[in-house]
Amino acid sequence: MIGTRRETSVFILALVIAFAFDAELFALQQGADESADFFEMSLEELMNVEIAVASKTKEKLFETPAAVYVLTAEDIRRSGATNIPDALRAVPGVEVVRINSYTYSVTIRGFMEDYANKLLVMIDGRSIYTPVYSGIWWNIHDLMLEHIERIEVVRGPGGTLWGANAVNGVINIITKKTSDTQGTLITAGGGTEERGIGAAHYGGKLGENTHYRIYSKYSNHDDGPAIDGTEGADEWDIFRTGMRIDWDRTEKDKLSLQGNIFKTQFGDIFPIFSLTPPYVQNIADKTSIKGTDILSCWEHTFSETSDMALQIYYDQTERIGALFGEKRDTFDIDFQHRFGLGNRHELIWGLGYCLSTDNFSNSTAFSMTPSSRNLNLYSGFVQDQISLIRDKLKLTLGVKLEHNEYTGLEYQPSARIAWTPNTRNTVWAAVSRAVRTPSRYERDVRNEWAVYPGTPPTYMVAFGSNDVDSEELLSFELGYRFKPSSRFLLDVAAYANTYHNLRSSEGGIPQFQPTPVPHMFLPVTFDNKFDAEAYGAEVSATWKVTYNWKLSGSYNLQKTFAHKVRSSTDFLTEDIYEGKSPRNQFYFRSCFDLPGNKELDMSLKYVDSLPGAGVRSYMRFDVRFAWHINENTELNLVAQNLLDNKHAEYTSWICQNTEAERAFFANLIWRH
Amino acid sequence: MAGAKKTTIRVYSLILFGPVLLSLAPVCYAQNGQDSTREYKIKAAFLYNFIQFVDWPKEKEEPDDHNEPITIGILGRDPFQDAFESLKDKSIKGRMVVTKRFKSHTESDRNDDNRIHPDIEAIRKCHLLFVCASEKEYVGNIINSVKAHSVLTVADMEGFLQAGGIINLTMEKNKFYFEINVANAKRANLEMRSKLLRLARKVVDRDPIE
Repeated sequence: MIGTRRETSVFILALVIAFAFDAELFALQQGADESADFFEMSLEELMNVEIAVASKTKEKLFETPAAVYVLTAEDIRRSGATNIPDALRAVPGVEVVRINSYTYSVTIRGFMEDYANKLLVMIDGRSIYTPVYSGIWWNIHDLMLEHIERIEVVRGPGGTLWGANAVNGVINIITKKTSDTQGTLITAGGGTEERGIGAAHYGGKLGENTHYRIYSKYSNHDDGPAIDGTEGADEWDIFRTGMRIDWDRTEKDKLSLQGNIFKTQFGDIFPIFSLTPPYVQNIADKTSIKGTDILSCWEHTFSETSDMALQIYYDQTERIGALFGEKRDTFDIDFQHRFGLGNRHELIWGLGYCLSTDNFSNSTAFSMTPSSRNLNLYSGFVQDQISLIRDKLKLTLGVKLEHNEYTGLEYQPSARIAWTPNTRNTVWAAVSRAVRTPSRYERDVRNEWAVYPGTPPTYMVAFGSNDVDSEELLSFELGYRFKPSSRFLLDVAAYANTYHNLRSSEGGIPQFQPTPVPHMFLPVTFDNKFDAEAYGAEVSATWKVTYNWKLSGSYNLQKTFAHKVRSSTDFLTEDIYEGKSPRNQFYFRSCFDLPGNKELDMSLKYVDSLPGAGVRSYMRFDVRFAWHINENTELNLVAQNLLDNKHAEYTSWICQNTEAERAFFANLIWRH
Repeated sequence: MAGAKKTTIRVYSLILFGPVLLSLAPVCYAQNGQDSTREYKIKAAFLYNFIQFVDWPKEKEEPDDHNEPITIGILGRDPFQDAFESLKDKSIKGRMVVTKRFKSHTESDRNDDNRIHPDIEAIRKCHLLFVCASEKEYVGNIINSVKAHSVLTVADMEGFLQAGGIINLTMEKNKFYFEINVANAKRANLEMRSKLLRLARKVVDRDPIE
């Protein structure tokens, strides 16, 4: 524990600095009234201001009793990012690593793994984590970034509202309504790493209240240098096309329908093991994934304090690869209803059902038994927001019940309280329990992990187990927001998390097997014999220095202490849980509007070393320069990773590792 | 481990709550008592923003008297009330911004048949002229009498651009947008920066329908 003292001091220092800034700004802004606030806003911001004050059922972000951050379309545009994980690097407390050009791992509050599994990620309410390993294949969600309205990121458990897997956080990607993407947009670009990205959309009207858009996007990405110095095989491409229709039937009834199709192919390297020399051979192969999804949503408003939403989606993906193939069909229906009860209560309740059906094609190295499963998930939740003192003190109590195929009934309660004594300060605290239900991999897999040379050689195989149970989290959170003026916002959150029943990989007793060649057989079986405590804090601040200059920065600290229970024979997992997530991260960003319709944006991010992955600390420095040549045309020049030729951000066990190189990218966007 | 954990939590709570309590002390009085509606506070901020993205000809952009402020004229029954109050301590392009109210045509001398506003000279000197809804009947007259004088005419009424106006504020789904008539801006010898054109919901580039 002594080790945390240094980090704690750094943390205090950061806070003191932040508050020193505050005091100064506060003095300047004291007495500023609300109309002054609007004068501080840019045109873009003004165009987003709702004229009628948001109905009281819609919680203001500032008063939310959770660590929430919203990445706006403008943030994404000015980050110069070409994919969602790169855009998420700007979010305080989010850990993003690039494993190779198409594999990213994104976590919050620790537990980075090759396939990080404690986050729930959704696009317009459609969950995109795969039940195979409870993580995200980020590359297949290659949306047109121009269509993203905002990305809401909740750090900490969101299980009560969102359900299982929302253990350490929720990322909710919300796309624009079609009325906001009218007209034509064409974008084309390329660079040293992104060989080419081209996309186009057209948005039109079908009637007075019906808008639509159609779009297509293709991108092609270069391979990176492998960590051992050889050339990587991670080049890939993806094509995606889709449409969306929004029909605002009346002021009170809104319907939307969207559908997307994609197809991607990427280079992969995976090991083929043999019991005779050379024991392991790396085979390069191409894996392809194609998918279709269709989602419809109906929102109805009963009154100012009451509304409902019904959402249905169907999603199909098919993966073809040498290691394994998978076909998955997901059908999901969700209903949600919100209403006020008396003066003090605001209730939200909902019901959901999800059926996920899969069919695996197995190989010797990787197989699922049974090869096909139907996973039924039933869920229901209720949440009551109680206004203890009107507009000042709010208590939110909620519980989600979920019945899943593997572990039966799970409950996820939470209690949150927010105190907003005035428009400038919010203090909140929360206690919540969240679970991560087992993945298909943990229950049903047989996966060759390694062959260790020797006489005889040792053959290690991982086995899923029917005994694998849910991982549990009990989380205590505390947060504070301070907004002395509309130009400055400080957000602080701290947490202490206790994990129980974390996945472990139990080494079995080696057995001698005489055939086909004499070898030792070492089975590894998944179990739940790890516990952990994690502590940390995130501090972030944004400061609009002038109308054309915005600064933002964040610091986060996280520390995880994992320990196996006495009966465990696990010898792998402790290093993963403790040493694969950065303990410290700094982020600093400046967005500057230059005269002559130009923009200059810079960001600097420090990421601490990952001893468990053998990765040294690094700094990323990205610069974007944009020129709005005329009202229709925007030119972007982006340079990423300027401080080094290349660096590794992670080393994975499972997939190929390539390094992040210094990269240059240019694109042209034309709107009409 | 458990003891260490408790200590850590305690340290965090201290760190968190210390500054919270400190910062609460001076901010107990939120100011209130504004009379203008939220709608016009937002619109006032739009006007302020427009000024930043429009370039006037030299005599208005760089006047001989450097202390001459940028003037926002409000013509007609003023819906802004005190929405511009906090503009007092703000400047754009190094110049102060002031607002001037002009009487509605209906209130001014109506015997005058050619309907020229009695304060027309002062109106022509404005950088931006907001034409209030009360002046709807006279829009054509107003625009005709200022069009040669580089006045950025803004309103929030239907048909304003067709009548020769330059920027019109519109409302859709609880949010404000604006549309621009570039042809009218050119005629008034005003330079619109492309950022403004890019953010406009609609850019019209043709002469008013006569």
